[in-house]
Amino acid sequence: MDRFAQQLVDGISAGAIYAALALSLVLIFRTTSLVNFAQGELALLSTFVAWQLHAWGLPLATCIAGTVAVSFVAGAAVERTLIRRRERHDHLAAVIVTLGLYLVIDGLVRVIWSADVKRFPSIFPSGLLELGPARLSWQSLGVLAVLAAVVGTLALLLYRTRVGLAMRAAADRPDACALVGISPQRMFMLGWGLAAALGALAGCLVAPQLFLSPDMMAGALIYAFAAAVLGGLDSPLGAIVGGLTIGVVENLAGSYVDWIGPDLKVLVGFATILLILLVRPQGLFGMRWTVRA
Amino acid sequence: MSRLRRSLTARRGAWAAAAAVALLLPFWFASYQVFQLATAMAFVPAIAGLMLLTGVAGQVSLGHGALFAIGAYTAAIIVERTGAPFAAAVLAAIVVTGAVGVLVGLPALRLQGMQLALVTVAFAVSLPPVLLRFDGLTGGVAGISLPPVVAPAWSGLEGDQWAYLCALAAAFVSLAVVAAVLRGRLGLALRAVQADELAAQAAGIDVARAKTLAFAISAALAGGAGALYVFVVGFASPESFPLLLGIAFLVGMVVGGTGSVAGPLLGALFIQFAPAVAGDVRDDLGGIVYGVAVVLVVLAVPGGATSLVPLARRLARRPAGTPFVPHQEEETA
Amino acid sequence: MRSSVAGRGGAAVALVALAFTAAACGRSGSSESGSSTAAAAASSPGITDDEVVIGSSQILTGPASAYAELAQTVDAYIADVNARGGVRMGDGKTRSIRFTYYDDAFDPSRAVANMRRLVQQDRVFATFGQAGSSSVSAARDYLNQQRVPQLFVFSGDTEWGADPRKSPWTIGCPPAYATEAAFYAGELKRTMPNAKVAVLYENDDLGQDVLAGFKQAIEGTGITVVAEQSYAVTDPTVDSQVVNLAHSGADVLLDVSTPKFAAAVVSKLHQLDWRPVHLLAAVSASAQVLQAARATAQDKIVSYTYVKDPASPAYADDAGVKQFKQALETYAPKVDPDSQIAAYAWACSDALLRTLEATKAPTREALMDAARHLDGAESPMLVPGLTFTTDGDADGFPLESGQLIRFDGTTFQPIGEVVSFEGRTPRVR
Repeated sequence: MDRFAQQLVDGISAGAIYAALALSLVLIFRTTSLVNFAQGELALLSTFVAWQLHAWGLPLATCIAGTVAVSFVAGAAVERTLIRRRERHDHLAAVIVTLGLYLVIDGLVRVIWSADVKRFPSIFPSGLLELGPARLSWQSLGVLAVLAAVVGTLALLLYRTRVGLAMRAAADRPDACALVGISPQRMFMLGWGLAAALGALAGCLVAPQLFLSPDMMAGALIYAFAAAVLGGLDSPLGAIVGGLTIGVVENLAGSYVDWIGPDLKVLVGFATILLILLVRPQGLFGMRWTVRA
Repeated sequence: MSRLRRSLTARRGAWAAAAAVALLLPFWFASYQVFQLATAMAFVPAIAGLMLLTGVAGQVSLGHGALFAIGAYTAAIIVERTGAPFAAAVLAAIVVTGAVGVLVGLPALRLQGMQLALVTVAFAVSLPPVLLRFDGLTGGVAGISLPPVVAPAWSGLEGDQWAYLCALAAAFVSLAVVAAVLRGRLGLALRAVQADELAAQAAGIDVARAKTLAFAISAALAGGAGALYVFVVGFASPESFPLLLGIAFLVGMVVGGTGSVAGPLLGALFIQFAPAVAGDVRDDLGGIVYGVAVVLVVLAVPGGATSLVPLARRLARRPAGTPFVPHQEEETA
Repeated sequence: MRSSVAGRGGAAVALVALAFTAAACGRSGSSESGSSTAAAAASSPGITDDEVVIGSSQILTGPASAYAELAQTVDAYIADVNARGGVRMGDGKTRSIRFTYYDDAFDPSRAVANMRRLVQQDRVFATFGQAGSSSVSAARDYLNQQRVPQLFVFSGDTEWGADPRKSPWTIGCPPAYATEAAFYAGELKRTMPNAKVAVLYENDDLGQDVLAGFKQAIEGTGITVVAEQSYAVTDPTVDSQVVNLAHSGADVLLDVSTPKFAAAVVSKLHQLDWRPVHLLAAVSASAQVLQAARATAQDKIVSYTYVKDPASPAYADDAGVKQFKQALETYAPKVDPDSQIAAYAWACSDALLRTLEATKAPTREALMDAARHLDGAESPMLVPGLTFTTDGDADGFPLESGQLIRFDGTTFQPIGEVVSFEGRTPRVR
């Protein structure tokens, strides 16, 4: 087993977690030009719901599928009830609502499920894959495969269907949309619903690796921000590439750059966000930064 | 004409009454309550700075907790190492944090509101490990403890009363600074930038300069607040300044409202007392109250608590029998 | 326009001021501070002939809300004592205990405010069982200045016991983190005298004290530390750190991580197929955590404890554990009766009770004197053979002994006899 190869593989495996979260951030940013600070907590809440259903004896796949569906509806409902009225004229207020949601969900989860560490079973086989000098778990590989499938489906949805066209149009020119009979509001709800569903899926997939507890997502969120910024905040493919890159760079910097070391790894996320926004605000794959006051 | 004069007199009277009550508070309350009030006053400049940057200029910062921490550590290190008087340490903290503000503000001038939020949240998360790394300076995990506040002998006050009055004075100075900035050219420029950046530029406003200046002033206020905090509480450790603190400042700003310089005052009192009050109702509610409050305020009272005052005033003035018509507040300019 | 801004502010300020005036008038009855004047009187505040008031600042919400069980357990313990008639103190009077605590959400400034409120408004006799090292540090100066006991804080920072003269009113309960390190070093000296040790530690006082204590304890032996990696509580994973340690050629992993990370370490070790002797910090030595990570006996997990493991079948019929579980069921049904934190809290509550029983006069000085001279005080939740022992300024650590344990796949089994470092807690600060 080779240290460098294993750091690389583990970086990819951590990157898959950041990518999953970044992808749902991107979905919301694309549709509503908002950064949803509650994204991680919403995913966490969904994961706890799935865990609870499983603890009550339902089969795991059913729990995850059910939670994803419920999360879709809940995400759309959050947009409809809490975000919409604020979002159109006042971005600041909408961002602050997402911060409020973050606080509420964090508190609620601790009250309902306590802070104890819980095991979340994996839907993937438990074995390992020998990749030459490194080992990758089927669990991580499974997360990557699902992510790839999700990005593919999203691309099809966004670029090959009428709904996708409408969603993109609503994001770019909401007022013009209304004139041609597309309801931008409905598209915003759809974006939030999809993001919440994706967050639920991501939470259930990574929980076996991170172990379920109220702060499961908090640490990953900052790297997910970095990943989304790196990829360009509006590009699903960018979120994946950004997540994997951040995961790998963070691991290698923490292991091989002495003055960073494991304790200052988090600076990689900070530096990435700052540098990319200054040098290339549209990220690697983003089209441009949508300016909306 | 006479009505205007009357209302001006009334306003001055209200401020004077408020100042008088604020000055008398430490002699009514028990010393632990004076201590809590003093801590709240230490939050005021930070929230005032955030009001300038976020509330007026529309630049979201989640990093004011970290700037607050830099101010707190600067003051604590200076006092601990040199024994300098606290007033000097507060000034040093303002200068240092203002400089950091310029450093962060220079890139910030290229960033839109949402982008700045991302940069500042990462900044806030990155600070505690850096504080731990330079433990020779910061005291590492143990942090820095300072001796309790002692009032000068001539005042005849207790330490907590003295700490409160100092923090109160500083809080009012910071509010005066923010009010002056808002009335001046910079305030006008910031409001123009917030309303429409391109139009502001077209009108000859140096947008970049306005934003950087706003960030620097805002950071300096947060740093001064941090120094006040360490003066009052006497302790700073990496765990004193989590990301949550920066979020709490934002909550305070929103709940207090950005339409008036009284907003930061109300906001600071809210973030200082609301969790404890909620916790008294039910043990585990303390953590949720911020979130619920901020969502409710944004949805139901978008202008924050201070926006309720003119509403109440209009309700009170309305002659009996006339229907109440809520209208957009007149002072948004 | 400009006056309108100021006007609105003025009116708002006036409203607040009014509200506060009203509140102040309403409160003025309870606002006098009495601690300084009462010290001269025969008895301290917070104690009468039939009641003694104990206060605490506790973590109920926020990032460290796992510690909420601590407060609930102490509450249950005291309810149980009161139901059995109260505590017969050293002055011959039997008193019931009133326990008042407030949430500090792991925020040091709130902890200080809580302690002031307890001393001034609730007029507590003493404070007890505070958690969170930063919060304890922040409140320490005030409590020592006011000469109010800060009893048996729930933190193993070596600072609390290293020099009782420095803060005479502060004392810890659990064995110091540095002592914990000495237990592990001692076990290695016995079984692997030439061990090569890799250290993973949380970058806080727990991790830093264990690491420093361990290095001190292995000086002059054949044991070496070959690699060390830290992590922050905000890190999403510790995979990278574990991989680096796995390549250090170590045959022992000293793992000073909190439960979520400990579970992740165990499963990463499985994935890497690295099987060192796994010395796991006591804070994570919970069967529930290890089972979540699918740990088995082959993982060679070694830790230590000072309390009876309530989840262990070996103690199923133990009178002390039975009473503990019964009290929790009656008074704190939300607390998991198998919880390690609850067991620790119960044992430390016994330390409080023994101290009260030994307090010869109704004064804080007498209480502190009793806490400083515990001589083999017992708790039915401590591992058999362990007692609370202090010795004035010479020994400020009540617990300096422990039982090494290993995980057998379902529960913890003791290894050998109880190890004692009585009077020999390493000084790492």
